[in-house]
Amino acid sequence: MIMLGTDGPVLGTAWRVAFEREQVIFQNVAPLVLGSPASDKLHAWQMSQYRKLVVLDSDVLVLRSIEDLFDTKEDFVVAHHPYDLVQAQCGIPLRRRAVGALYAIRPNEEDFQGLCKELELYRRNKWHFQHYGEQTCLACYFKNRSRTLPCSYLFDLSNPTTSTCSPGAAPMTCMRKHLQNCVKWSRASMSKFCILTPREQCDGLAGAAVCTLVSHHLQEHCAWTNIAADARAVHYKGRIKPWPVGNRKRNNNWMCQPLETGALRVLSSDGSRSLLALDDDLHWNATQRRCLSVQRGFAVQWAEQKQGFIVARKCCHFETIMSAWWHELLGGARELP
Amino acid sequence: MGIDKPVIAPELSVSRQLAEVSATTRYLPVAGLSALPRCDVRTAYVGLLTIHDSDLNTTFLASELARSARSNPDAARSHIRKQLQLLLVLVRSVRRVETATL
Repeated sequence: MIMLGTDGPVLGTAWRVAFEREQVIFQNVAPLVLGSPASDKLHAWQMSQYRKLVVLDSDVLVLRSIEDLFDTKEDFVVAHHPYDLVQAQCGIPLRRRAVGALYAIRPNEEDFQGLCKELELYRRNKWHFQHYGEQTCLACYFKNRSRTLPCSYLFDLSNPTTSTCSPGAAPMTCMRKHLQNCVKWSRASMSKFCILTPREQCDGLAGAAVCTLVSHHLQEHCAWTNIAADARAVHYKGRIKPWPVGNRKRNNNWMCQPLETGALRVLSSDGSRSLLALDDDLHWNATQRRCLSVQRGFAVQWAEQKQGFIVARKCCHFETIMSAWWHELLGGARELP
Repeated sequence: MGIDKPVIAPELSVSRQLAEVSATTRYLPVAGLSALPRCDVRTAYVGLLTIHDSDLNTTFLASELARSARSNPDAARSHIRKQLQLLLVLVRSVRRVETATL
């Protein structure tokens, strides 16, 4: 495993040891576009001594093997962004739109140079480049020789088919909100993100009809309940990150802090405690005032038995499963300075 | 020893970036990356630890770090620590599935 870094912090010994224990090789690189850290990922195309590389963002968590990515034949195999609108500008259909958090590439200098040149087109629209970095550039550059993975390969924790918008939200609540917001704002957003000239060419790429299509696509192909069993990785996209406190998205949610003690457990009817499956979901039972496993129906507990059951509705949330698992893997490293 | 004071790449304003659009992009010297060791089949993943003085609307992590670096070095160190934690957990999650099943 290779980690690229720009002129960043000098790692202390403890961190360096922790990474070296996982056989990580560090390699410093110069910033490619100052002010755009995401663009540094293009450096991977220069590592042509490797036949195939898998590029992962740091906010991805792998759940099942992703080794099949090394057997792919296409030049660019990328995870799916099921509700992106801006890639329509280069004619990419919804089911093929890409998210830059996970992809497999065939490193070569020609594509590196081509991508750097292509990137300059996207830098011309400051608003677009700030929000999407190199993502649209990658999707558009490779559109004729890429393959987009199914939603299940990298599940986006911001996916509105879950209760991501509001902990404990009833099924479809977030989906409805997403659709409403899309209908309300997508035309104005698309206008700001437009890279086409004249700008009017972007007018038909957003609006109610487009948003309805996106909504159907999400429900049909990307609902967690349908694809969880096939999920290879999850993505703490945007403001969703695995720490409960200090995460502004979660409003300093101290009640959920026990998730930092590790993976969630379920209490079975025979009194035994077992790990909650990662492809499960959580459901709030208002009568019992307990958070239940959707798959098993049992009450869910925090990792440490003394912390007991999840009794706060705002913690009874799909994201909590993955965040608690993230902390399980972090383990003792949480103490590193 | 903890994390040293973060060294942030000097800010390049968007207007300057735009002025440079037609200029030559600063490419990395190839030698640095090509010198990396060859690997066994299926062992090369790439992670990133990149810290720029970003505009505040780039990725969430980069924006948070840039915002805190401008106001409070301790907060910046705390953000870098979180990024290192993310990277370590990512690596561990990959290592785990190489030897185990869900």
